[in-house]
Amino acid sequence: MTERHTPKRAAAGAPGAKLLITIAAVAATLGGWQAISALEPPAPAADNATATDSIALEIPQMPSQQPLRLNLGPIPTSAPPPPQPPALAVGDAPAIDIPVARRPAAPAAAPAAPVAVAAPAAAPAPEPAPVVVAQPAPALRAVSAPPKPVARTRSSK
Amino acid sequence: MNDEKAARLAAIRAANAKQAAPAGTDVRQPTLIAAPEPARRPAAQASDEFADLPPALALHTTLAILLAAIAGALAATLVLPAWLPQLTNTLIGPEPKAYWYLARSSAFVAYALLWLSMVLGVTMTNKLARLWPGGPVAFDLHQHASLLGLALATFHALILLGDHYINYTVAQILTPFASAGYKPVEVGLGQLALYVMAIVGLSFYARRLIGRRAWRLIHFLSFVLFAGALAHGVLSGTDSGTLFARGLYWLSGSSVLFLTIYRVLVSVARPAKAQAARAS
Repeated sequence: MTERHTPKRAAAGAPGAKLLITIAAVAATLGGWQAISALEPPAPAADNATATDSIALEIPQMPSQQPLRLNLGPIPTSAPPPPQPPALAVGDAPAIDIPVARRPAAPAAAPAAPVAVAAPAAAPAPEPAPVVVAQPAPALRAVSAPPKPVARTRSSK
Repeated sequence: MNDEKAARLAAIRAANAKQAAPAGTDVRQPTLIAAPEPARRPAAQASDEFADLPPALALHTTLAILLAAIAGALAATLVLPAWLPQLTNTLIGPEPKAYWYLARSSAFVAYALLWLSMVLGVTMTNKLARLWPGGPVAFDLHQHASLLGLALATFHALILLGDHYINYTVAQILTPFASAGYKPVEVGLGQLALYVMAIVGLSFYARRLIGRRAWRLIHFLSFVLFAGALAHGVLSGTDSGTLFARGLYWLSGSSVLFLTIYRVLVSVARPAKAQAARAS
């Protein structure tokens, strides 16, 4: 009954095609949004970071010219530290003047060095007496040595 | 008296049973026909009455709804999980870019709908629409595409209000050539095209008021509107340099130009044919 009274022009329309066009248009708009956002280069991370983040990530840099000084405290021990030993000063050793036989003159090309003196065994020619070059003994350094341990061992008993 | 009453009652029951029971049923047993039969009678009559009515939804509408349900389910299960993270990223932040992206995508869709409307309209006038899809269907789709394109073009313009980078005001959106920030002339062409599109599209509803001649004259503005929209897209579009946009502009522009030339040739040749027929 209803279809008999439907006007001819309304029947000639294409509701399915119109629905398809509408859905396609909406889908294309959303798809275009997705496609454009996917094609766009991502924003740098600094844009999204807050000021707090950037401050928290900062590492203080030490000036390279300043030497590193370590101020370490005493190592904790269970026993009290021993008293400081007195500073020992050792004077120059007394020079011993020993008469030495003259060494024959060395060839000019040979390098005059204490190395040659230090290796008399390598010399093929036998020598009558070992040559001892009198050299002044180096000054001894002042050292601070800990006191001798007063420990009783079985051997000392 | 009691016997008379009992006989009457039995006769009434027998008559009722005869009416309600289907053919071939034994009506001589009054106990079987007692209670449920009066309820069956109107139901059977109702089914006879409504059997002639057409279905509430036509077959193609039902199929369209089913297809839409399937497409919606597929979109919800496959497309949305893949798209949503990206789309959500464009919505967050101090300057969300979603407005800008939506403006660009809706511009393309609006332009494509305008092109479809133009093609259908020109094929109606040059009689190509008689071949496919038929005159009335072409007119229906032409009108629908035009109005849908107008809606999306309006969306394209107004969604720019949400973009904080370009920072348009309502006055700048509504007034042609008022956008001082970005290519005012090229953007103004698009604004003018939108207004002409509104006039042409809404003239469908005023055809009886303004008359057929005025309506046709207004419809000639469609060519100006299409040229303005094409120029707006090519000159001020951000994506004009992409392969997709260039292909769309070339295809749409050349097809409308070809169909328009064909229409002019047909309109010129038709009177000449008629004159020749009269002369012979």
